[in-house]
Amino acid sequence: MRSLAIVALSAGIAAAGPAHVGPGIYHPAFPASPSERDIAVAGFWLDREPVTNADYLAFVHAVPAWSRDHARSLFVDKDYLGHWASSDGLGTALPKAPVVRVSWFSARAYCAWRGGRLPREAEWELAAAADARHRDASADPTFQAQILRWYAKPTPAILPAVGGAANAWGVRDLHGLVWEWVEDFTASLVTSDSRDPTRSQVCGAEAAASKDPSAYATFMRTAFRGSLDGRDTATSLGFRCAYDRSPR
Amino acid sequence: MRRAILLMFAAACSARPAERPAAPPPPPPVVQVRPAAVGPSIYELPIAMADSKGATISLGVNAGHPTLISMFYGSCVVACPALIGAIGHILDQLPAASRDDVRVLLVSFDPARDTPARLAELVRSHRLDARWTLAAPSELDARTLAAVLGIRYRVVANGEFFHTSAIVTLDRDGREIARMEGLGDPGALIAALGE
Repeated sequence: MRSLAIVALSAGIAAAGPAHVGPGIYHPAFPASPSERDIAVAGFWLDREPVTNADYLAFVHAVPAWSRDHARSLFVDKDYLGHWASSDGLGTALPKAPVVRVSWFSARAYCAWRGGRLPREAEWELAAAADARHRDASADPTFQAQILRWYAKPTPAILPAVGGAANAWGVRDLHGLVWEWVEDFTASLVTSDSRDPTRSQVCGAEAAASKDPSAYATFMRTAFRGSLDGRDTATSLGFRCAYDRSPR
Repeated sequence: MRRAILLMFAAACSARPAERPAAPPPPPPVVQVRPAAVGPSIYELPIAMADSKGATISLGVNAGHPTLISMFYGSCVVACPALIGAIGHILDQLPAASRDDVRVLLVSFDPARDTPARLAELVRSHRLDARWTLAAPSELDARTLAAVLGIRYRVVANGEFFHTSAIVTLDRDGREIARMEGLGDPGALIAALGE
């Protein structure tokens, strides 16, 4: 009986473990240069769901240097984990809701602790281009409209739990719950060998370069990433981890 | 996050695609000066780098000296020589008292190509004196340092890096006291260094 239970349990874990995504080609809606129209993405593993408050609490217990009281101001802003009741208590935040108010540095530290890393932008976008049935639904106006409807909604005061419908890769909640950090967020909106850090010129130039209004959702994500600093935290910004090899 | 909100407005204005505007002229550099000794020291970052002599050094290699820090990549043909030139210009304009005290740390985005030998070649070709340190960390640590310094970069398929330039001035303890984004008149930066 006991071994049966263990088999059943490990099968359950296998189904909940990271999903394999790719290989595939990511077509940025706003290629930064002519050589970046088609970006080959090697196969990788991606958490099926965003990291939750409960997951992150376990990390903070294991690595107290990343608790709200101890995290270095070099790596987090003053609102880090500000939605928790205390340094090690969730309060009204749901354990199964995505953790938010985490910085890029802290998200990276979490993923390293889990034996992974943050997904790169091209990897995240490849995974997020899938709807329930198609691996690439990026050209489907219905799918894009659905994402834009979510972008138009304000973030609820208490985020709901993870566990939305799986997409064709078996990954959930890439849209509809929170925005997510990517490893190379600083690459967003760097469009030339620039001594010019102004990002505002992107509005006209890049958006006009795209004739396809469905690319607007992608543009929103790119613009959001491009506006962030590594220490920033936000009420609607979480993350999930990626892995170069199967974590099991 | 203020910039995030601004950008959302910027994004909103693109809902009606307009005529592609002509490229705007390069903006003047933005220099920000902070009161000294506030904020964390970037020397807290545990980053190991290989310098042009092949030695393993930490970010705090210049602790005790005011330091200009920036990032670059060695095979860059336009912006990076301009960056080295701009920093050299700043050093030349410093008052004599601080000119010898100041140090420069240039950290590469490109550890694969910026080996110690390649960095040593750059030191020679640009005639950089002992105040300058050129070094390369791991790719992961380069990304960490860029995020801390607020330098944005993208690796392009052909091995080029698109990046913003910022020259960050650190006090003797590694705390940021001034930064210049873009290249141009470094007057405010020089004033901050002279203090």
